[in-house]
Parts: sequence; C-alpha cells; structure tokens
Amino acid sequence: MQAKASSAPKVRARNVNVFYGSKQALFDVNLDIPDCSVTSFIGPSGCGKSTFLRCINRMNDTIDICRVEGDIHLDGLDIYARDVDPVILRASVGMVFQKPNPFPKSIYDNVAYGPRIHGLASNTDELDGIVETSLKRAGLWDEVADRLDEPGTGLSGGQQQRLVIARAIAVRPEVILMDEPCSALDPIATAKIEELIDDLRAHYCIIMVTHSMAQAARVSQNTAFFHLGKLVEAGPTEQIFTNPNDTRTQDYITGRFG
Amino acid sequence: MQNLLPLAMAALVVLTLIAWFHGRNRAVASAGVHPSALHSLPGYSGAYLAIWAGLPAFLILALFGLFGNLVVDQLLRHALPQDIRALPVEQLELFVRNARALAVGGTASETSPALLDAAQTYASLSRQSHVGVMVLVIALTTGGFFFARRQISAKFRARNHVEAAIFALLVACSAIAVLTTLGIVLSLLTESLRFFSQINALDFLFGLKWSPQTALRADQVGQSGSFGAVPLFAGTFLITLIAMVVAAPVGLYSAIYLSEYAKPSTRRIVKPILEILAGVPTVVYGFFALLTVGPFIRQTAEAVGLGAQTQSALSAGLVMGIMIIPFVSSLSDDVINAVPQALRDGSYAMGATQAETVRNVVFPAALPGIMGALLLAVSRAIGETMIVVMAAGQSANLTANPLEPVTTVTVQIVTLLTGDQEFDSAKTLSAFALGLVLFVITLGLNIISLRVVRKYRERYD
Ligand SMILES: Nc1ncnc2c1ncn2[C@@H]1O[C@H](COP(=O)(O)OP(=O)(O)OP(=O)(O)O)[C@@H](O)[C@H]1O
Ligand SMILES: [Mg+2]
Repeated sequence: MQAKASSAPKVRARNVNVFYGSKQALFDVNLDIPDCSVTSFIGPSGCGKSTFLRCINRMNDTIDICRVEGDIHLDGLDIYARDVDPVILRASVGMVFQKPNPFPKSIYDNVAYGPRIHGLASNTDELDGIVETSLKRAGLWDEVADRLDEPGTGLSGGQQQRLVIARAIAVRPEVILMDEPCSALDPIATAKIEELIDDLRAHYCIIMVTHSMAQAARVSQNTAFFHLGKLVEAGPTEQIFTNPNDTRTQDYITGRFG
Repeated sequence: MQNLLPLAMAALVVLTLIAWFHGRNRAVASAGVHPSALHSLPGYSGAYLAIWAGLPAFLILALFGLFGNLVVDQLLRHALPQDIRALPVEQLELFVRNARALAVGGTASETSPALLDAAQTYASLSRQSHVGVMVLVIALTTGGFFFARRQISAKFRARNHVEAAIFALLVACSAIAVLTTLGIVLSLLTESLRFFSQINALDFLFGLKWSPQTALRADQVGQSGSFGAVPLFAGTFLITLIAMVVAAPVGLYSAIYLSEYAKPSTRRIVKPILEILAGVPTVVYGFFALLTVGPFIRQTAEAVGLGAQTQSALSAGLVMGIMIIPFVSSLSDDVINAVPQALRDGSYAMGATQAETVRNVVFPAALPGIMGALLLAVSRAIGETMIVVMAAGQSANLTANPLEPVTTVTVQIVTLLTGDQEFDSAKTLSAFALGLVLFVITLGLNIISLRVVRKYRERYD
C-alpha cells in the first residue's frame, strides 16, 4: 500500500479498526507514515480521517464510547501497549485542531503551558528561550514579540492558529497532527500556515487532514485517500494525483463525488 | 348584585370569542375569491375585532371589581346625615364598614336605626353603580365592535394594529414590574428618612450598641433606645462568612466533580439530588440547625472546655452553608460546562492530565463566572432569615466568637415589625433603615456579580 520510504516509517498502523459504540468507523487500516515529511489524509466527509488521526495520539481515549483495535507503532513501539501512558504519548505527538483554540491566557502562557506541565525548563530564562524559539518557528514572533502578555484570544484567526502550532512545538513533539488546520482561515493566513508547515517538515513528521486537493498537492509529499472508513489508496502525492490506481481515488480527485 | 361581576366577565369572554370569529369571517368574505388579496391573515382581523369589543369593557369591569367598593363607600359618606358625617374619622370609618356589612347580608358589630338606614342607602347606591357600569360595558362593547367591524376589509392592516396592541401589553407588564420595584424602594427611602430625622444616621451606621427599646410612656426610665447597627451587620457578616466557608469549597468541588469527572450515569442521579437540597424549605433547615446541629456544637464545645450555647453563629452558619451548596454547585456547574470542549482537547493534546487540565485551563477559564456565582450565593446568605432566627438567636452581640449567639439584620427586621408597635416610633422605623442598607448591599453585590458573569460570557460567544 505504501510507497517505499527511504528509512523505517515513523508511524506504522496495522489492521486498525475503530468503533463508536457498535458503529464501526474504520475498517482494517494499514498505513506507514515516513518521518520528516508531510502526509495528508483526504477523502469525503465522514470517511474517518479525523478518527484515524486521533488514534495516533490516543485522543480517542477521551471519548467514552470509542474503541480502537489493531496496532499502531511509533518508532517501532506499540502506543496502545498496556504500559504506555497516553498523557506521555501526547507530549511527543502534538495536535492542532480545525478551529484555533488558544487558552484564555496570555500569549506567553499559552506557549509556556506545555513546557510548564512537563517541567521542560528549570528556570525562567530557559522558559523564555523555549517560548521565543517556538514562536519563531511558528513564524509568529515578529508579530507578537512586544505583546507577549496580551491574551492569546485577542489575536486574529490566522495568528491564533500559528500560536497554537507554537504551543504544540514548545513541548518538542516528534509528530504533529493537524486536523484541517486552515479550514477556518482566509487565503492569506492559509498561505502562511502552508509555508510554515513546509518549514517544519525538516524536523517533524507532520500528518494533516485536508479537504483541499490543491493544499494536499502543494504541501504534502505523501497522500492517503480514505473512503467510507477504508483506506483506499496511499502513496507519493504526485502519483496519487496524476496516476491513481483506484477509480474511487480518481473520481474523488477529479471532483466527481464527495 | 355582587354576583353580577363574574357573570358579566363570562359573558364578555363569550362575546369576545364571537367577535373573533365574526372578524375573521368578515375578512375572508371581503377578500372574495382571492385570499391572497388580504393584507393580514384573517386571524388578525378576528383578533382586532375581539380586542376592540372586549378590551375596554374588560378594563372597566376589572377596575370596578377592584375599586367599586371604595367608590360606593365614598358615595355613601356624602349621602349620610350631617350629624354622622361630623363623627371623628375612626368612628365614621367603623360606621361605614358596618353599613356595608349589613347591606351585603353580613353581621355588623352594632346596630342602630341610623345604621339600618345607611345600610339601605348603601344597597341602593351599590345597585345603581352596578347598573351604571353594566350600561357602560354594553355601550363600550357594541361601540367597539361596530367601530372595528367597519374598518375590516381586504386592505386593512389588521396585523399591524394587533401587534401594536400586543406591544402595549408587553410594555404594561414590564411597567408593572418596574413600578412595583420603584414603589418598594421609594417607601423604604421615605420611611428611612423619617427614621433618620429622629436618629442620627452616623449613630445608626457606626453605633456599637443595638437595643431598640424606646420608652412607651414619657415617665418610663431606663429604656433609652440605642440604634447602633454595627452589631447586626457584624452578625450578618460572621454568619455569611461561616456559610461561605462551608458552601464555596464544597459547592465548587462538587461542581468540578460533576462536570469533569462524573460518569453521565452518576451525574444523572447526583445532580437532581443536589437540586432537591435547594428545594428544602428554609424553616426545615432552621429546626435542623436548632435541634441537631446546635446541641451537637454545644456538647462538643463543652467537651473541649469551651463555653457554648445551643444558639450560636456557628450552627446557623454551618446549616446555611449547607443550604447554599446546591446554589453554588449548580451555578458553577453551568459555567464550567460552558467552557468550550476545544480548550480541554487542546490541553489533553499537549499531554496534560485531567487534573492539570481542570486546574490550569478549565478552572481559570471559568473563574469569572464562578466568582459571579459565589457573589450571588453571598447575597442569598445575607438575605436569609429563617435559619438565623431559629439557630443564631436574637441578642445583638458584637463578637467574633462563632460559639456565641448573634443576630442579623434580617432577624432584627422581623422582630421589630412583629408584635404591637406604634407605627411611627423610632423602633419600627429603624426596620426600614435596616432594610434600606441591606437592600443597597445586596443590590451592589448582585450588580457586581452580574457584571462579572456577563464579562465572562462575552469571551466565548
Ligand atoms: N464522537 C463520536 N461519536 C460517535 N460517532 C462518531 C464520533 N466521531 C466521529 N464519529 C463517526 O465516525 C465516522 C468518521 O468520522 P470522522 O470525524 O473521522 O470523519 P472525517 O473524515 O474526519 O469527516 P470530516 O471531513 O467531515 O471531518 C462518522 O460516521 C462519524 O459519524
Ligand atoms: Mg474531521
């Protein structure tokens, strides 16, 4: 299913089935996701993209009725093993949501939130450093450097989304999950986030859900197409978009359904 | 004659209904074969006709029902012979009341030929006024009916007129609410001013001794009457403080448990139980405090060598705190639930535990609303009377010892106004002054807490 990655995959999913109560949302998903690249999930609404994404940082654990079967490995370690604490897992698999959700705290405290709870900084200077590098990486530093103590909720939508990305970066994750990170943003803010994702690719494994074919084509190296809870096809983005193996992929990409 | 009023009301209702149907049919007929030619739906024409036919007559009947007796009394007074009209006010009052009682077939406290005469006059006056009102009502109904009926046509904007009438009704209702509040405040103010004309306002607000017994007769000694309200406010403050020390943490933590930790099934059971606690009458809490908590506190205090009485600030405060718990927990539960799930998800996705999420994200986000809830609970505690009457006693002690009996502003107001008192003595009037100060305090608290709550709402909408 997967295009040959140069090295071992960062995330490896085998026979993943997900149920909400008695309703099955994902069927037998097998997928390898390489490190230091952007992988996008595409597919019609309700096909299970978010569900699969949330399996990777075990956010589905917070939903009472949700049950996950199968194996998901991060760097060869089973993240659903008994001795894995989802709280610790989530520190290395960060997540950015569709709607920017900064905490009602200052910009500084938003970014410092993760480092503080994980004890990443031993003094305030170090914390200041983490906040600054995270904001710089997220491309927000120049816009907020002189107002770090203003509330994060007072920023524009695009700035908020970059703030949330900075917040996620601050705990030094290895994987960043993004669920439609640009769907609430205008084209200019979207372009900025896309640029940012492209920069971040060098250091992180980025997995992104998107409804925009153009966005998937622009920023991702690999693409996976989901349909009705099944992974239909996955491979290098160029191949999926120019020469898909499955007619359903072809139909979706050319806009014939979904 | 007395039974005529309900009958007239019933007839009026029937007539109004008939007017409604007639108006509707007339509108439909006027549109001919093109129902869409009507400006308003036929129901509006019906309502328009019904309002004109029914409303003025209804208002007259209602006014007559409320004030008719007063009018007839007044008429009787003018018709009485000269010698009776010359009687002192109280006796004249009694005479009129007796005459009215005889006229409607009741029993009077005395009878005399003059009284029987007056009763007959009363009966005939009453009959005349009833007939007059009925004639007026019939005239208004028919007049209104035909006036409105002439206007109904396809082009008539019945909807706009009916909506104007509804608007007037809404304004009238809110005016009633506002005017009653204003009236209460004004009467508090005027009576308080009368009190402050006898007692210095500064002595009242800052005096340390409360003993409102004034001399009944000029030659009585030893009853000077001192109106220093500080002990009362101190008592109120002490009991409120104890109540909040109980209610704030317990209510808050149970709200956090309910909204963040409890399983939906647990929540479905526990929440209604907490709300039942809010439905227990305060007098029940009162005797719970007096009969169970009070003796328990006294025994415990004596066991450790402290002097204590059954009635104490502590027992009243504890029980009042229990009473306020559901108030705090239910309001805080609402604000905590209003914190968007996205914030919690954001925190979990950063690798925060549930406790960290509650402490660092949910609680701070809900804090302004929780402050509002606590302030509302405080004003509830300040206004509470029954528990304090029963459990804290009535002696105006200026003390910070929670084991001693104290009294509160509300309790004093009750004791001042119950029992035989001259209405314009300083003692009675002081109740109004206390009420005024209490009103200002709770009003201030409510305004602050509503502000706080509103500010919090704005942030997430
Ligand atoms: N919390 C939940 N409880 C019950 N069913 C759920 C829940 N979340 C998702 N589902 C169901 O699982 C299926 C997959 O949903 P999912 O959110 O993963 O779709 P998606 O591909 O992300 O769609 P979209 O593009 O609209 O975001 C849907 O049928 C949905 O109804
Ligand atoms: Mg989704």
